[in-house]
Amino acid sequence: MAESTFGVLGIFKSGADLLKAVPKVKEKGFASLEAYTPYPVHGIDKAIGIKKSKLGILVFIMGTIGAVSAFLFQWWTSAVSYPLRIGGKPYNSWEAWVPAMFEVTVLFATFTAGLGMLFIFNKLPFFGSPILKSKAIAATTRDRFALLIQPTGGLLDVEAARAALLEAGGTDIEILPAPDLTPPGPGWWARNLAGIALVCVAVGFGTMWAIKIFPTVKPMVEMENQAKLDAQKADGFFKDGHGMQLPPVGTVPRHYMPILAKSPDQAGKDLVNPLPVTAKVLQRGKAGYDIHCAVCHGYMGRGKPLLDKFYKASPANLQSSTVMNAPDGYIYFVISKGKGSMPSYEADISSKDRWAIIHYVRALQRSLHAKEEDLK
Amino acid sequence: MSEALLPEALRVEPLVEGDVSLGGLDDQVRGWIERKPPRSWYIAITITSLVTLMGFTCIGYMIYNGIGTMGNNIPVAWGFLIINFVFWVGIGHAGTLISVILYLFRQKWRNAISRIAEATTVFAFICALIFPAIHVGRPWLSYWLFPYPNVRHLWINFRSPLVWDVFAVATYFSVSILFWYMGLVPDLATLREATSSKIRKGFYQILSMGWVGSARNWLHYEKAYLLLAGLATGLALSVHSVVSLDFASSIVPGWHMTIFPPYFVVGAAFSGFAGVVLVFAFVRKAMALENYVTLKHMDLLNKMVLSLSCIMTYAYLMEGFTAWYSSNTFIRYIFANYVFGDQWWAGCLTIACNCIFPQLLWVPKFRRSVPVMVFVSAGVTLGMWMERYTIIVLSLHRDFLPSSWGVYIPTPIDFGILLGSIGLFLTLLLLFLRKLPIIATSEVKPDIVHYQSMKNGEVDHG
Amino acid sequence: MSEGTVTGATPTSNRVLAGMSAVGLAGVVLTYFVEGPARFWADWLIWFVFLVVVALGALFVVALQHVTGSVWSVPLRRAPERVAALTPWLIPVAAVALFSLPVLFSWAHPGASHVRAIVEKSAWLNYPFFITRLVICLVVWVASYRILVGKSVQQDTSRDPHITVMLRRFSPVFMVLLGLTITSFAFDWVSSLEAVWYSDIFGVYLFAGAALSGLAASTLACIYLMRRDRLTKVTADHLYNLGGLLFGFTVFWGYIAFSQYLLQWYANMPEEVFWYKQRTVGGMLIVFIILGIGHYFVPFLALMTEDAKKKWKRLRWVSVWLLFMQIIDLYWMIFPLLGKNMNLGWPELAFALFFLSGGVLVVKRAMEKGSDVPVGDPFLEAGLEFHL
Repeated sequence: MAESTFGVLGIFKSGADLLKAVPKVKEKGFASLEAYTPYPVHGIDKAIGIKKSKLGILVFIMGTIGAVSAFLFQWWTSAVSYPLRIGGKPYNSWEAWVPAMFEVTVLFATFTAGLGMLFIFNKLPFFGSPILKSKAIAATTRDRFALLIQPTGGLLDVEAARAALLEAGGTDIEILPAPDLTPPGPGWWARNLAGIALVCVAVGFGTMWAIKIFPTVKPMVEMENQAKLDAQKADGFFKDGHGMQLPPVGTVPRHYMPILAKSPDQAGKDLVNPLPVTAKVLQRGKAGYDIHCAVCHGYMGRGKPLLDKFYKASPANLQSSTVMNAPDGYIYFVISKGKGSMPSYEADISSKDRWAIIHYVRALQRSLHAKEEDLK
Repeated sequence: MSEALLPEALRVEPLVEGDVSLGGLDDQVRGWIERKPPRSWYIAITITSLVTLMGFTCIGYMIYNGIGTMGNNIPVAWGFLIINFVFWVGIGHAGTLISVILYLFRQKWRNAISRIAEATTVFAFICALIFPAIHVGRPWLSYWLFPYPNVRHLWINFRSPLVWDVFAVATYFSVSILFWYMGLVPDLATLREATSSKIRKGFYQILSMGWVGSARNWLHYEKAYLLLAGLATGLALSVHSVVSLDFASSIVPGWHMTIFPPYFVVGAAFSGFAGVVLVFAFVRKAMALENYVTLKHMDLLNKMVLSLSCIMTYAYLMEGFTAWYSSNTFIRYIFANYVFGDQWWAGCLTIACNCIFPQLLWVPKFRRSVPVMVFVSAGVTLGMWMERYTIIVLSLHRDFLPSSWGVYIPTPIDFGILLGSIGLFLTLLLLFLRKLPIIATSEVKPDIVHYQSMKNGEVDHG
Repeated sequence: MSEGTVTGATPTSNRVLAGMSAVGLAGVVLTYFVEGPARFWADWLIWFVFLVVVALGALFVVALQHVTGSVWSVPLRRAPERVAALTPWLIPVAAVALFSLPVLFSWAHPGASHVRAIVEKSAWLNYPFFITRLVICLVVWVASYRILVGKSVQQDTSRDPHITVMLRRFSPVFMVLLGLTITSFAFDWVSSLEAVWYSDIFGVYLFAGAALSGLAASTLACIYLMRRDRLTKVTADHLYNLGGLLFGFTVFWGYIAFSQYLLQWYANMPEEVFWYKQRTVGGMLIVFIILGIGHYFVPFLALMTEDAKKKWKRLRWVSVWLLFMQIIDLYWMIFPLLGKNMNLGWPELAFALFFLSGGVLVVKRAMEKGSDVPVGDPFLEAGLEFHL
């Protein structure tokens, strides 16, 4: 019957014979043709009337998508999401993004070409083609060339088709029944979806194991216990059990001059302010004073701290006669070693800065005890 | 002008020889798969498998005990593992270049050799991919190489050539497999119809996806093949260029030479073609392929090896000249060090194997002589490995500050891993030769038809 | 198949070309006196390099056909052979160009002896050796031209197939010589303008430009002959191959150009990157972008599809465009030497008129003698019957 026939097939000995047969068959009025060959026969597409493949357009589109998305992704991660200065190059170094962009373009394009050709254009995998069950397929994948006359508009005169093929030189004429095109039932869907779900779950567990569990197993985890000293941890390497040791007695930092004097008075006798009194030194001193000293001694040095209420101690009044009469070395000693509740500022203020502060203090003192000559 | 009047040098040799037919080719290909392999195959694969096992043991030992079990140190922080990686990626270019670029140039002689060449590419890449995986200190954290959203909001450093490498090699590997598989589909369909074993038939059924070889199938297939060929050409050129950028984008003297990208690509093609020559020199005899892979094919392959050797010689000359021309003390020293320094044998071996011995191939007789081509190609393979050694180790061990200079002494683990990778490659190749169709029958069949029509007296159009 | 066209009286078009060239020459001479020697020599150098690049490119195309033994290209081979007729004309242009050395080249300036980097390469960059290299290059090129083209023309009458055998043996040798001489030329005449700068891919870069320009010029010559029915039986299938080669070499050029830029940008070494810095600021940045898009993307997209490669109109304008881009490339490389005096104006037009008209005239006159296809080549029949 015409409707349940997939087509009528005839076999030819060579590609040349097949090409010669096609116009003869077409003359008889059969327009829907297909050929089965062991290799692509040149000229068969034109002869049968197949249009050119549109794969190229799809590949171009996907390639462009690949290029644009790769470029945008690299730009976003490198210049927007978490910009990092690498090698002194600007955040939006487009030059660096070209290689990866090229690769991704090619990846998208090639997979579109390969998989698109198989899945979309050739509609494979498909195991239901009637040709697969025919007698001819063994020959057409080996060394024979087959021509199939298909129904046009659902109708096919089988006997006429057979006659046309025989006349054109075909042999082993076969009539192929139409395939069973009923859509798959719920069973098929259930099986396949369950299979896919199973694969996803397996991959998920596998990934979790690889990332979360595997690194915690020996020997991977052994890198976390390294044979090295940690400053904050105990360690049996040293006798006292500390990872971090104090430097030997008498160690001094670089550019450090220890104060040999034992008391402020002795320092007052021994030490002399090495800095000249210049505007620059005074500015430096002011800056240092305002940062370190004004909190307790007040901006004018009167000893009224800004945190008066909360501070139980009473900072010295730098405008008092004791301080005014004390030599610079005395004050230097007090700043360096501390006095009473005043802590040592040796670590916070460099030696030079301490001397500069002292000059500034002198200036403060002079400002509140100005003499007539100063106005001239 | 008719064939008879042409001087011998201009006559076109046929691509296939002997008593061949379409069906005969299918039977021969199927025979290799379905017949039991000879004893020599079993012996060979046992040896290569043991070597592979030894290699993987070394790798396991190295990962357990640390990078220090190898020769890496400061300043030579990159040693055998990177050399091997670049070496195998280079060899992997053979298949692509033969399959793809020769296809674009319509060189029909690539048809008979393309399947084995593509397989060589895939296997060489499998060997190559071992090395980036193990050369990091903590291989189980390799997934950090890929950009995925994480709690630290960190992304991979897209400005690093090592990251470009990840993209390039991953793309190339997957595309090679895709291309190889695509070519296999029609041949697997042929096997599906020809085999009598039910298990095999089911296996081929699934793998061939129900391919029937209709004109429409072939139309899209050819289009895809052409597109893939064009794209894969660009890809092949770019991959080894990106690998070269690992070195050239630094400022290490001897590494930062602008010619590195094309120079590495040519070097990859060079080692690739030599590898293919070696494979075919043995496989032709071992599997009686002389009718399809004729001496004409070997001649043409050797011509490619020769041309690439000349281009490599040019590249070495350029490097040496530019090193001097740069007036940069450090670059000048490094290049002098390559051939006159404490490891002068590395530089000299490179030049001898890559530039001098291949010149033998100017002689047409030598291009068709199996002993000579095996000698030259084996030399090239060794020479190209040596070249990577020279570039990596000799540049690193004496760069800017003499107080930073060091010595690199490879350990048995280094050699073990290298040998293991060679064993892996050979094992995979041996398996492929007996389990999958080794000739792209759908591509060679038109050549057979052409040859038969020539024998019947039709004109040859070259 | 058409045999050759006979020479007769000088056709009008040749007279027109000669006239245009003469007008150009007047402008060229005027440039020296009005705009100054630096501008004059920069323009002269650019056009000298362009002529070398086109002539060598054409010779490359001819040799490529012999090396690969390809058959489809045999009917088309006469076109690049005609373009290669520019080769002997390189000698006078080069002789004049020698006088640009003290003006443009940094190693020939008096201050060069104070620059350590230049002093250390003075064994290469000195007048005697430089001129010797130029002479060797010219000798090699003209001799190769006489062999590759001369023998091919001789074969038209002698019909001796052994000439093909000889050419197939000579071509690989020529390729080696081409590689060495074009590299030496590139380093000497373009790279050493800034003697401190170096890049070892530069020879390959100029070669890529040469191959592309040679192909473009050959394609134009082919189309010119086809349109006048002088290459009957040559079909769109032949053109497809030319289009494919143009496409491939465009990609190759882009790859080489970008590699050089990426590496020097990435390492950021002062002695290298200053060259790119000069060429990516201000007006030069626009030229840089134009080059990138015009020399790579435009031909790439224009020649991407199978159909595009077969259309002679498409190939014609892409070829013209590629030659134009090559000139822009040379301007981009050489003009920044003029520093602040880098302007585009009537001198550039005058030089273009002189050299382009003169070059086209030379090639056209070569096409008027003898056969348009290599009738003596044993593979001509096979080549004409080529189809995809």
